[in-house]
Amino acid sequence: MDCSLLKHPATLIWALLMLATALSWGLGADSASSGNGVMGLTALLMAIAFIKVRFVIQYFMEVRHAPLALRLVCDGWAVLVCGAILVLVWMSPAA
Amino acid sequence: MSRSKNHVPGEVGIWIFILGDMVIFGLFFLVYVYYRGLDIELYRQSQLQLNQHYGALNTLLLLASSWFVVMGVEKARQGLGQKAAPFFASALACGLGFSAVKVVEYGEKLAADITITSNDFFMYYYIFTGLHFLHVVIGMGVLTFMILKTRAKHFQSNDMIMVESGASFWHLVDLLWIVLFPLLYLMP
Repeated sequence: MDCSLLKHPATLIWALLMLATALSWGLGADSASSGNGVMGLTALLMAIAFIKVRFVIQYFMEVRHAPLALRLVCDGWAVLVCGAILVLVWMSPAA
Repeated sequence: MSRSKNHVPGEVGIWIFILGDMVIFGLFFLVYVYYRGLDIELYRQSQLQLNQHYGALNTLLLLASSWFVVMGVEKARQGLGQKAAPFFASALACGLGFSAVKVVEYGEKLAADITITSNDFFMYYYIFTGLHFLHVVIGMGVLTFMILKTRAKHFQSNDMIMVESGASFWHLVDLLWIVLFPLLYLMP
């Protein structure tokens, strides 16, 4: 393989995304055994997921090179959806 | 090449589709979280019947496929269509891996008599993962087209817009799964 590919910014991003997935996976396995801290754990899992989403949008979909309007729409979507999920969990009787 | 601060990767039309899909799936996520909150024990018990390892493995496969696609786009942009094609083929192989895991997973659920009508959790599980899987299948068709296009001797830089459109769609498939995985498999 061509070494320049390993130095590409997307390669570092990809490694971080893999690590973040492993972290979520571990956190999810813990959640099966304990019923405590629902809100905290949900917030952590969603924060990890939407940070991953942002990395994919910015670096893989190359939105960081796109016009401001598209960057704002993508970031707005991530903030709104993540925020609304957390509010719904927080308001639910189980939290 | 052509990566100023104002470059939209792919056709404007594909971005309208991508953003529309993001809005629809965003609404799906919210509906699911709302109803989950109303009957949390049922959702938790049902969720325990899912195999988290399948969900995680599929996340890793899609992330790997996305990396291959980024590298393929990079090569194609340098005018090296022939070198781009193997990256797109590797991404396609990851997509096939995802599909195989999904088929095994659905097979196990159906063998245990868990269907779309079992309960609300499994209704959402089958609808969301099924619609996502439809995106994976369409995406694999797009990747095949990208392989053929970049392998062709006459690959030109004006074919780039098609390659970028396909790549953006494939990343959308990855992005949606990144949220579906914790929502369906991991949430406490």
